[in-house]
This record gives sequence, C-alpha cells and structure tokens, in this order.
Amino acid sequence: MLEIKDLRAEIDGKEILKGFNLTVPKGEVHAIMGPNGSGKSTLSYVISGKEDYEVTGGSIAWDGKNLLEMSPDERAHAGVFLAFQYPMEIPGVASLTFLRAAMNAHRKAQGQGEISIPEFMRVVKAEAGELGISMDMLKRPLNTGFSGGEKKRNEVLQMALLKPSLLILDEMDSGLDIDAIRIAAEGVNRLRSPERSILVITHYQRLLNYIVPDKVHVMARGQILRSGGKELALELEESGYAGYGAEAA
Amino acid sequence: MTIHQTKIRPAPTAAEQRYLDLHASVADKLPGARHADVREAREAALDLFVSLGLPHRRVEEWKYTDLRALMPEVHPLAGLTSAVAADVRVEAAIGKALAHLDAYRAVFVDGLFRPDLSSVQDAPGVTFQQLRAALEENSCAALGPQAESGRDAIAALAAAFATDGALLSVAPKTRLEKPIHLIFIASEGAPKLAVTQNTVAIGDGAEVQLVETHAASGESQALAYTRLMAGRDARLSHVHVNVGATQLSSAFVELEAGAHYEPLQMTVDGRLTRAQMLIRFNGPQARCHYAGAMMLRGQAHADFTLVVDHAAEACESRELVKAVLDGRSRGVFQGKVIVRRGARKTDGKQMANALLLSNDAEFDSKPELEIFADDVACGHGSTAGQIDEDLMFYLRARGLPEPEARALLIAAFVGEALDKIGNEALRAALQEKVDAWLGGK
Repeated sequence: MLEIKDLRAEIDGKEILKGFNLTVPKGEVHAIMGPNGSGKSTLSYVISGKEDYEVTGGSIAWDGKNLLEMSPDERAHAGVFLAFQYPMEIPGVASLTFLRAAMNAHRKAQGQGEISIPEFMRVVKAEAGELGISMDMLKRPLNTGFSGGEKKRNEVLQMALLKPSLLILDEMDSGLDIDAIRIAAEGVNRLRSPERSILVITHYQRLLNYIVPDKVHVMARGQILRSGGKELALELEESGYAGYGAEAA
Repeated sequence: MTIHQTKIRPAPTAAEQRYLDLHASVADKLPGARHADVREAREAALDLFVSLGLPHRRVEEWKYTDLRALMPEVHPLAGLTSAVAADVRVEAAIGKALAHLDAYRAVFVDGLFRPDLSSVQDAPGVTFQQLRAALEENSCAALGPQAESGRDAIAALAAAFATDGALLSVAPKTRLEKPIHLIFIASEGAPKLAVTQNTVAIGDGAEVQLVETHAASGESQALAYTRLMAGRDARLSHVHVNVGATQLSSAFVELEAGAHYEPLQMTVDGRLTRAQMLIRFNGPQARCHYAGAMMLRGQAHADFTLVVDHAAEACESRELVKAVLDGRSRGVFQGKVIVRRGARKTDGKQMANALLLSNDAEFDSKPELEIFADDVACGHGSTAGQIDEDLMFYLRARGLPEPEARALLIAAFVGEALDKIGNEALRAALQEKVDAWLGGK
C-alpha cells in the first residue's frame, strides 16, 4: 500500500506540494488528474526520489517502508518505478546494455547473481515481442532517435522486465497517437495484479479509456481537491479544470 | 613558414643543451653512426631542433603544452645496444586484451625491435624492415626531417635520436584480415628515453588496420615520429593508444585520391601526452574521420593537436574529440583545418566535447580554420560540461546505484569516439581500458 500523508515539497524555495494526502491499496489503479502546474509531475519525482526537490514535511510509505529515507536506486529496488513523461535519450548506451545493467542492479539488491546472457536475451525477446519492439531497435543507443511512441514502449518494456510493485505513469499519453497509446496501455494492463499499485498521472481523460482506474483524484494547487470513481474523469472531460483553480498554478 | 638555412640562430638554452649533450654522448653508438650520410642527417635534424627550440608556451602550436615546464629532464637514451634484451611481459605492460589482440605484431622494447615477440614478418603482402637495419646499411632516406616537418620539433628529435622503428610497406590491393599491431614498451627500472621512427606505406586499394600501443612505466619518456602514406582508394584505420606514459608523438599522413583514413587517438591516464598529426589530402575524394578520446585524472596532461590540410578538392574531414577530465588534469585539443586555393567542395567539421568531473580539471579547445577556397563547408564546435543530473536520475530510478550510473554515462560519453572501430576484439580491448579507468582511483 502507498500511503502519502501531509506531503510538502518545494523546489528553489517555491512550495509545490502543499499538504498532499493519498492512499493507494495494492491491486488498485488510481488516476491523478489536474491542470498544468498543479504539482502532478512534482509528486511523481518526489515519490521516486529526484534530488532537485526538497521535502519539507509529511511522509511517503510504500509497503510500510519510509521512501523518503531512501536513494532513488534504493526506491527502485523497493519496487518503485516511474515511467517518465519524457524518457531520456542516452547516446552511447545500447538499450540492451542498459536493460541488463538495470536488471542486474535489481538482482544484486535482492541478493541474486547476475542474469545469464541467454536467459536475459530470452526474456527480453519475449517481452519486446509483445510490445512490437524489434531486437534491432534494442541494439541502438537508448531512446536515441526514437519516436515518442517507441520511447514509451521502451518504458513499458523496462516495467515488464523489472517487475516493479508500484508503478507511476507520468503523462504516459503525451505526444502519442491513439495506436501508440493503445499499445503502451495494453502493456501496462498486463502488469495489473493484486500485488501491484498503479498511479496514473494524466491531464486528459482519454488514457483512462485504456487504463481504467479504480479511483480518480483531482489535484490542484499541490493538494487533492476531490476524489471519486472512474466517472469523475468523464465529468472533468466535460467541465474542465476551471472549477479547481487552474489559474492558481 | 619556410625554414631558411642560416647560420644565425640563438644560442641553445639549457633545455636544448641537454639534448645536445645527450647527442654528443651517444653519437657514436646510434645505429648507422659509421656512415657519414647518416651522421650528417642526424646532425642536420639536431640543428633543426636547436633552431626550433624545445617547444614552450610562446610557440602558438604549443601554447597549452609547455615542454620546458612539463618535461624538464632528459633521460638516458635507450636502445643503443641489442646485446641484452630486457625481460618484459607484453601483457603486463599493455593489458591483457590488447596483448592478446589477434594481429601481426611488431614489438619494440626500450627502443629496439624484438623479433622474439613479433610476428609482423609473417603478414602476407607486407614488407617489414627495421629502421635500425636500414640505417646500418647506410640508407638514411628513412631519416628526415622532411620538408613538411620543418617546424616539427618532435620529428627533428626523432630523426636525431631514433634507435629503431618499423618500415612497413603494404602491397597494392592487399587486404589484411588481421591488424598490424605496433607495440612500444619502455621497460621498468631506471627512467629512460626511447625514440622510434616509423614509416608505413599502404599501396593503392589496400585495406589495413594499424594499431599502435605505447606504454611506459614511471618516469620514462617515449618519443615517436610516424610517416603514413595511403595510396589511391586505400582504406586505413589507425588506432593509437597511449597508456600511462610520457609520450610525444607526431605523425605526418598523406592521403591520395579516394583514400579513406580513420584514425583514433586515445590516451588513458598518460602522464604527459602530446599527440600531433598533420594529415594532408593529396588527391580528391579522399576522406579522414578522426576521433580522439582522453581519460585523465590526477595531474595528467594530454594534448591532441591536429592539422588537416585540404590540398585537394572534394575531400571530407571529420573530427570528434571526447575528453573526460578528473582531478587536476588538463586536456587540450587544437584542430586546424586548412583549405587550400582550389580545394572546392571541401567538407570539414570538427567537434570537441569535454566532461569535467572535478572543479579543478581544465579543457582547452582551440579550433582554427584557414580557408582559401570558395564553395566549402567547414564548421567547428566545442562543449564542456558536467554529468547530466537528469540522466543520472533516470538511471538511478531504474535501480542503478550512483557509482554505476556515473560510470555508465562516462563510458557512453567516451564510447561515441570508439564507435567507429569495426574490429570487435579491438573495440573490446579499448573498452577494457575505459573500464579500467572507470574502476581505478
């Protein structure tokens, strides 16, 4: 279970999260919707441990563990996975090299030995095939020159291989056409399980047609202002965020 | 600038006097000393060196690498006698992967060819001769300094003191399956100066991979001058690796029409490296893709200086330099592109990127373009920066601990310079050097 209590965080002296509360039980998918500048991306970075943000109050617990005491890599080992809105391009690092390094880092943290190359290739081939990612693409430098859709599919591939227990999807649909959204969303849906919590951060409702949430929260001005079922997303699509002080960003 | 023969020159300073003294002490023992022609050629080279002086910061080409300050001492000259072969383990000196690279090898230890460690004699289509033997036979043609190197103090010193070197000639259309690997080692023990001079002539249409590895331990100094000639439509890849040595090298490369030349200059922790190249396009449609990689820490100093001379039209030159600098190290890249009158359709671009891992490291990048022709495309760029913290976060968010994430990004940064190496084993051997640097402190 993810438990965030009265979380306050700032960057460059400006408070972005202003007493944020959220609980996501295992097995559930929660969506956080909100206008630009409401603090959605900040929330995803603070959960995953980006150092640019200073947490000034409150707590984040995952599975009872205090995430705020952990480095980003330790959080990853504890099961936290942030799918980036803009996945990084890393010229000079082949995707396969990166994937193997990430998998081995997780295995090492769990006291296991390195994955053998044949075993690694077998699991990568299987998962990449599901996502329509060619092995040729994985030999190329990570995300370099990839389209938006290819980058997001790569993020989903990483999820599938690392098997995190807490998924945070930050604006996964941004820059994607409908087909690309569907492929990425199907990848995420395959990971839905009673053991996982998924947090979907999105500005638009349309992603939630593909990844159907159990709960929807409206975030604005660094707080959750309203929570409801999946129908809340449709209501927001109709009425917009005007009632939630979008201009206050 | 033309060097005019004249008797008027400044008196040698203490710096040059050391080399004059060294020459006086070894003149009778240098190979070919019994032949008047060879002696004269050596003395002319020494005269040239004295007139140029030991390079210092007021000489523009040496602005960032002041040898008077960085190399104040001259060690005893090695390689004067072949009587006692030093006991040396190639693997220990240059690393396992490079030592085991499947190649035709020519190994030089302390300035002397070691047939017992070499196999270059077996390379098909390749003629090999020792410089030493050529000099003993009174063939001083191999000794310069040539007109082209009239301002080259390294070439002048090499001609004055060279004790050995490889004279290689590859027959036209020869396609060597394995690289030719020239290995230069200064053995352990008392500091010494090893001086070699090499000539490599690649026939028309031949395809050759040439690897040079230079290793010296401790305070020893190595000095090398290399002449390379690539014939029409020849293909030459040329990797020059410098590990842990004080090394001054200079190469003069001439490319005929349609020739492709791909040099990679790499220095890992070299205490003092000056690696300069003059590359001249003699015929049209030739191509040179230069890559440079330096990884330095501590007080290491590396200077890659390059002149690409577009003396023919429609040639293409690319230069990419990657410098990783930690501690108080200093990296230098000087890249000059000359486009001669009439060298239309020239395409020349250069880029130098430095990754500064400490506040005390320094990178100096000096591009120079001299363009005397119309209808050319030339460009240059230079960057210096630190590790991208957003990339670091991305990797750490995928579970890579901080040191691993950092190492991966540094390796990737340097990797761009190594990417062109087609020979997998060679690429792996160079990667081993990168990994060793990343693992060491």
